[in-house]
Amino acid sequence: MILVSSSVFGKMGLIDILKTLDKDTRVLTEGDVVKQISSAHEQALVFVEWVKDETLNQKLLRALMKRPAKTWAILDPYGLQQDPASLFHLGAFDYLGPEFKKQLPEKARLKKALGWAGWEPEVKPRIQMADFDPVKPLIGKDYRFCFLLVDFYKPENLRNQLGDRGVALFRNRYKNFLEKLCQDNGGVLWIQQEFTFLVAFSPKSIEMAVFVGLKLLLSRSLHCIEVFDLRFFVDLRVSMHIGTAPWQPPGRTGQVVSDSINSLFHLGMKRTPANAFSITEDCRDLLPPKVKNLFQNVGEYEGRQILQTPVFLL
Amino acid sequence: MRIPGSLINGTIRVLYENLHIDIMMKLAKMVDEDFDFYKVSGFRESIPVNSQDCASVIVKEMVRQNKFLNLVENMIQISEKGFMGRSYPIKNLYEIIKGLSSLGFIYDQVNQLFFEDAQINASKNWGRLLEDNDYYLALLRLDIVHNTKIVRQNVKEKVDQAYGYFYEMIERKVHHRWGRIWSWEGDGGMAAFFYGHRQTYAVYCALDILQSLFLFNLLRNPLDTDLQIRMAVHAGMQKYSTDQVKWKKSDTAVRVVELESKYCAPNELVISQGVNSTLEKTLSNLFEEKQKASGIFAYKIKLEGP
Repeated sequence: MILVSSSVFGKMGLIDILKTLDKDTRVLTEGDVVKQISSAHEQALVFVEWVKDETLNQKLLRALMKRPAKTWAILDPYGLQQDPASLFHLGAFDYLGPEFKKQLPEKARLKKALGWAGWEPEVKPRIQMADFDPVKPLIGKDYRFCFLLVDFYKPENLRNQLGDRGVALFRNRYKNFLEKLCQDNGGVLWIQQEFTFLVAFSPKSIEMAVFVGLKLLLSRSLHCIEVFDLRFFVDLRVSMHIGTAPWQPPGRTGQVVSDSINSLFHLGMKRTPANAFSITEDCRDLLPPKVKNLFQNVGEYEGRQILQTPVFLL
Repeated sequence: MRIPGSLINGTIRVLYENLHIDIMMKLAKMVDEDFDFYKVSGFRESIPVNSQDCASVIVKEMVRQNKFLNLVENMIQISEKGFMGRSYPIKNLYEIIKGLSSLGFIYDQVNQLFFEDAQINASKNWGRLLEDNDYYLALLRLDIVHNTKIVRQNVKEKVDQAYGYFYEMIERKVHHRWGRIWSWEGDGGMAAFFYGHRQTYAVYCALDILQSLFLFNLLRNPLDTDLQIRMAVHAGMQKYSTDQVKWKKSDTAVRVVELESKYCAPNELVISQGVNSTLEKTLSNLFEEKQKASGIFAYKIKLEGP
């Protein structure tokens, strides 16, 4: 995994070049970059750009030095680093100075530097990874999934309307309803956290996943009244991503660790508006043209292009 | 309709174990006001009748007259609501209901009537409505917009396939709400709703069709152009007949066609004021009164940005 925090080189296309080398290249979100560096996986390779703030640069450097040697590199478009070689003494594996402001380094140059840092361009296992098969998945085996995240927006409103007991009953009914809808369309309701439901589909069944997601949004009013006998409408957020995870049966998913799932949860909770459907660029390519047209590009999030439907009003 | 002997015997037993002879006689009169026990049974009035014989005569006569379902419906009513101010709880009634359910009949609690389960048999009269009789029904009218253009501009196989999928979807949604398709002419048709909360069910069905059409166009429509529909729901007294010409002349049918053809925009559902006033508030709030046609309410799918 490659993590990048870069404004100048990033805009010039450095991130795109890195993505061609490693699909798992992500952009560190603006804000507390220091914290993100500290919490990044120790094998991740981090590119950090010096900013025109010496104090912040010192903080960033201290955070980088706590990482294992040769897992970080400095981007210095303004030429702020007095002695670039000293960075290598501190553990950096690369330095891209102001000379690259005119033209970014060649892909081969970056590949070489990454290789020196121990990075291997072996991305084939990801591609060759078996697609999830809902009929007979093997416990513990890594699969490629099409994940669909269904999340209730502001579930506290439900509590106000239904009370604690009513909420518990409704949650159970909604779970059963969603489980049936997904099963009928080749998906498995995999992980549930309160009012957030993660459904696993095979990537081959992406159309069915889209169908389920859109159905939930389109028929939200009808489901609330007819199926759940509510006298108000709930707001939903739906998001989808293609990614990998080790399979564990529903109910025993506490140990499942997956960057793809984390990333989807972030997308669903932080970037998807109420009553809309977000997908990542990986999903877009697998969709039929008519469906693709429903999703508009709304920018980048965690290093991926995000596409979104309009908001489905009542 | 053939009633198995075991169900007949079971009903006879439930009757004589729970009701006195005089109540049984009144029950029979509720089903058939001309019922004359002595005439049917051949017993002389001077000879006392025992409960078993009385129950047997009543049940068998109702089966002969094809009024067995009416008999059971009245038994349920007596058991639940009593009769002439007294309560008559009937034990083991559920066994009869279970027996009828295995024959393909569903009991509608709202209207306290049995009707055919569409999964077993979906006749247009639900197995109950009588020819030329008037009933209070909700009608759903659906029309495919620009049908002629679609047929002209597309290959026949694709049109057949698209309309085939679409019809299947509509039929499933109508039956799910206990409705029946009364007519279908390729470019649209009419569905009737009699059981349950008929107006509400018709509106649920129409909303479901409209919302599913959106997905149909995205994922299943083999045509190059999207299908568009116009829908209307109205309720009122409506004649039932196997002859389309007859039932289509009823005021309710005429009005629902008028609502669809005159007041409905493509991909819209319009409902009459009468229907709107019967809907629960949350459902009714989904509809907006048409600006240029007061008393007519409309629903459309609305999308916003990005």
